Amino acid sequence: MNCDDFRKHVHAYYQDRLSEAQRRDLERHAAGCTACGELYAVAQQLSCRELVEFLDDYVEGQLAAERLVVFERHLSLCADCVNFLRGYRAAQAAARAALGDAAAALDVVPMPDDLVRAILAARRA
Amino acid sequence: MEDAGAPPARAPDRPDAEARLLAALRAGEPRAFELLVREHGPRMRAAIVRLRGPVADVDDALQDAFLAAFRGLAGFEGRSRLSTWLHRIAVNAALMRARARRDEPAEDLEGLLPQFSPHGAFIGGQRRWAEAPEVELQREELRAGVRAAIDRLPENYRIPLVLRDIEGLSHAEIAEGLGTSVNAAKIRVHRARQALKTLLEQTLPGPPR
Repeated sequence: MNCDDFRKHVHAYYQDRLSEAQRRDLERHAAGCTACGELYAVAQQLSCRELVEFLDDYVEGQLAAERLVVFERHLSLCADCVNFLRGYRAAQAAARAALGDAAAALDVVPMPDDLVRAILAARRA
Repeated sequence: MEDAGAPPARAPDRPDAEARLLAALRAGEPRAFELLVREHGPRMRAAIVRLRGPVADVDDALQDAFLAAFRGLAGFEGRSRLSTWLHRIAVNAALMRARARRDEPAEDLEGLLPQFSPHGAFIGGQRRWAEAPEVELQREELRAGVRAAIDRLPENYRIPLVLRDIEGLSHAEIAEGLGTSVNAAKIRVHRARQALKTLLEQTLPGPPR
């Protein structure tokens, strides 16, 4: 296995999609190659699951620097997490676009007279 | 004589008009109460709807809010705008109504959260998202689809999401409003965003890009 093969297969490795022989090849390459070994080590430090678990702290700028550098490193290597992060931010933006103040202004409709009467009657009650 | 059928009086649009309205309310002038309800009711109602979605007791929550406001008028010191104060009261009234439903089993987010392999990698990969989908999401025609997706969130996740990402409350404030721990409030906000992401992927016409 060379470095290109390693990069091609490393994601499948973490998704448990490699055969036993492929797994051994990949681990052997990581053990003998400084650059790929570093990638392998970063992935061991922080999995996609852990990245997602702390993603709210990341988007809100609340991650400690030690964790932040590992986060950024993982994101530089993992297209899945990049897409997950974009989708997560999109969900926040979508909520603001659909329900934020500008959008909410469109939902402001005059009070029905019977509702006004009911509220005023409840005050007197 | 309070007559809700009469044409509404002119709305106060200046700080001194707000001061006059407050004085009239404190003096117990019936027309002032009607003016307050007609002037501020629509925005308070919209705030309740966006927090809770299409639920049956929106108008009950609005009535709760006004009764709380009438009771609290004596204590309103004018440090914030009247509209800001009333907005906060409306949100609280909506939360009280939502909390009253607590006996009902909390809905979960089955199928809307990501799945991971034993190694902690995504199972099934991730849908591609554009680098800055925010711009696309401003498009008016997408708004209805996004609203529909938000309406599909269980209320126990929708409310924390709206409180955090729309109302801008802290996790501690959300926890207080929901009667949960701070950590539970934080987790609900986080999961709600993930679930909304999945719902948007299911409902929007292709990833916005």
